[in-house]
Amino acid sequence: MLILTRKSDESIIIGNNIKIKVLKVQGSQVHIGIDAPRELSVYREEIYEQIRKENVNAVQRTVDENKIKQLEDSLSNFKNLFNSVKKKDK
Amino acid sequence: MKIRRDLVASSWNENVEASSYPKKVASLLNDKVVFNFPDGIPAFENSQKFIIILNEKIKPFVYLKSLDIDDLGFVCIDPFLIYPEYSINIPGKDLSVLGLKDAGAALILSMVTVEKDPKDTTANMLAPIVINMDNFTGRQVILEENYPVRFRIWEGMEAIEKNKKP
Repeated sequence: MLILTRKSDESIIIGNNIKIKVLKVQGSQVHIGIDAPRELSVYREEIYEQIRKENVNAVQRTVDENKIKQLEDSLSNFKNLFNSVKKKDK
Repeated sequence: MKIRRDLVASSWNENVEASSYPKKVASLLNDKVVFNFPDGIPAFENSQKFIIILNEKIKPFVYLKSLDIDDLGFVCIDPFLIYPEYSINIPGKDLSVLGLKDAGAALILSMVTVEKDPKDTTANMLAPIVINMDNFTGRQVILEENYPVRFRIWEGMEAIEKNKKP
């Protein structure tokens, strides 16, 4: 990993279109400004990792008859709830 | 772009059981329509083509199936159905990728993690799937709002039921 030392208000440039600027250093917190092209997404790493992990958890392999049954069973209680909410709507 | 339940209310079908999706999108939802996810979704970046399968047996859940990766699919649900107060702001970056200009054209789905005990089954409210039904482009949007990644659907439904009591 490349390590650079920067002070407040100093920046680094990545490639020719990404700029990362240290705005403020406050105790253990660092405020960072990022200028990047619109098509590049910028996320806090721990949030992104959380989403990745949950996506992996959420995977349901192609559903064969057995799995439809399994899914149906595990969701059947929801259906009752949905139906009871619907009745109360009326 | 703000998206709340009432912003899509005019296209909302009153009959929750018969169709839990806004009318505008319900007519377009079938496994012939291929949705393009230009960036895939986190952890599955190579999967860029998806179809939505409506299955009576798992309604009101739908099945978002990858056409690029065998055996990849997700059970999803309309988040407004399980949490009516859900209100999200889609960041400009995501809007431009989606080409989304009209909130009414947005289909919002939350990915569901199905657990053995239905009470433990959760929906991802922090990173919904947003699909622009005008051009069939989709993306998992990571919101700036403080919504849970694991929202217990059961508890959400119980809260709705409680609120309906006179």
